[in-house]
Amino acid sequence: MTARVVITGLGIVSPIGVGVPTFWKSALHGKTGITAISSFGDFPMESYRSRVGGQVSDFRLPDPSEDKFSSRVDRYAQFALAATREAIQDSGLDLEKESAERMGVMAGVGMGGMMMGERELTTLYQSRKPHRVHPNFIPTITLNSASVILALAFGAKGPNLTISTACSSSIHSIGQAMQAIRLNQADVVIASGADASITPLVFAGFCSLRALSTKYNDHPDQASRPFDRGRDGFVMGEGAGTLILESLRHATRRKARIYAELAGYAATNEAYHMVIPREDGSDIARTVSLALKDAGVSPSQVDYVNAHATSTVVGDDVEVKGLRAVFGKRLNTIMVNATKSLIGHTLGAAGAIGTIVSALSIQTGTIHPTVNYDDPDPHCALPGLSTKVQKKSVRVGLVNAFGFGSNNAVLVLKKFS
Amino acid sequence: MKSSFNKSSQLSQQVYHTLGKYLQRDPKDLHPEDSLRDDLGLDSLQTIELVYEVESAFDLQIPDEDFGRLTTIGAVILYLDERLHGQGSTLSGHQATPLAKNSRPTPLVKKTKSRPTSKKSRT
Repeated sequence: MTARVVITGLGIVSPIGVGVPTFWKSALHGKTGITAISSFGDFPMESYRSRVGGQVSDFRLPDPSEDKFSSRVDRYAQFALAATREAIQDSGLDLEKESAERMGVMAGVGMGGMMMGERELTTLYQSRKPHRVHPNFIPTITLNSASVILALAFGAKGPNLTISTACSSSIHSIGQAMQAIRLNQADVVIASGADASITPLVFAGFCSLRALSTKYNDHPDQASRPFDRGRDGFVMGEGAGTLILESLRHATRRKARIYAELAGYAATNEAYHMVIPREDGSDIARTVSLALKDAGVSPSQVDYVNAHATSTVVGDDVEVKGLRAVFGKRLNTIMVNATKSLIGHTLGAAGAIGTIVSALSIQTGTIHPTVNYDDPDPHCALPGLSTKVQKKSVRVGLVNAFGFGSNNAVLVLKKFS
Repeated sequence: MKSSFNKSSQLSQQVYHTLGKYLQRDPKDLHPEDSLRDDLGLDSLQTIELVYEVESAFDLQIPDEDFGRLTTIGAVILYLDERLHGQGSTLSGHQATPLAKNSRPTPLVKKTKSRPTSKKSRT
């Protein structure tokens, strides 16, 4: 029999708060972290089609005497370090007593160290001097710099993987962390997701792809509006989320507080398109069904969905089609919320933040509001989605994430009993 | 007692400023005898970063084969003096003597066992 896996610690860096208490309080108040991007240094912001984003404004680097690692990595990995430090503290793990070899790290990263990447590219192209490229450039932009720095900082010598599947990266990192515990490769896994790529080049790229919201540049707080008829693209965000996963046996032995059980996970690919989801939602439905089967629960037991809901015209519509294929009319009674309406799309962090939200919802029986759902799109109607806080016990929740490259991932969380 | 060797020259001041900025330390706390590895605690990657900062500050390139000479702050100053002003240049009245005659290039990953030039020889 495979080990049961539980969530025992949470940590977050987000546009609406650094630290879980601040984030959760903001989320329950429907506070939005979407603001106007003032500038990219000397770059004229007005030349960008989209000019709004979910930026982390109150993040402070720890004192080097307390953290010698943050100064060595790019902003996204700094976020991952901060979120993980909080999650470990929250879990009550005593790292001195833990077996380093039985502690792993799984990090989900979409874009990685693009801040330094762009800076060094600019330096090289402007100077034409290869020796002006910083020596720490390669270690910083190597996509596994976050998972490695977490291992270094917290002494985790077990399995260490970086998973990059665009916007679904950290659902996979959490799912693979669960699998590592199920396979008895580790007792504890730091499952994290992080991205901080609101940078001149990446932002320009998403603008050119016509993926970002452009209609609400003068009203940034209205730009991210999943499932609303007025939605016109996603809003880029940045942040990190970390969950401490443990085998139930390990958590019980040390009398840890358990937020929820991580019960199911499914990963699929649509083999369809680089950026467009299959229009009928059939592969999303397949992924949800597989995750429910993995968790050993039926569709009739699900009472909450943390939707992927990026606020793109096609994506939101397809997600609802997929959910309706699984749940039928019962979808009307399932509580749904869209965390991206508050913080934008944090790419590699999105799945981890959605899972943190779900764990908190199960623990507290509280569902945060979805903002800007002013004019529900009849094509993707969700009666269970509310602009107000919903209070209701959650026994089984889903977390969805669907990434560019047709990558679908779904987690199933259960109230621990 | 630490010597104030060369601290007054313009070149030295620029080196101390560059090093202090990289190390996030007050240049006043740095001394020519300080070994980059043993006193300042730099690992091989950090030494490479420091050399990068020096290259940028002085707009020159330091070849790999010269790395082994850069063992102390004083050695860095004298090396730069040689590079910028030519062999036989003097710094604050001190002869720019050859540095770390037996030193070898520092491996990028593994810490070298070669010792830095004796502090006594600098006073």
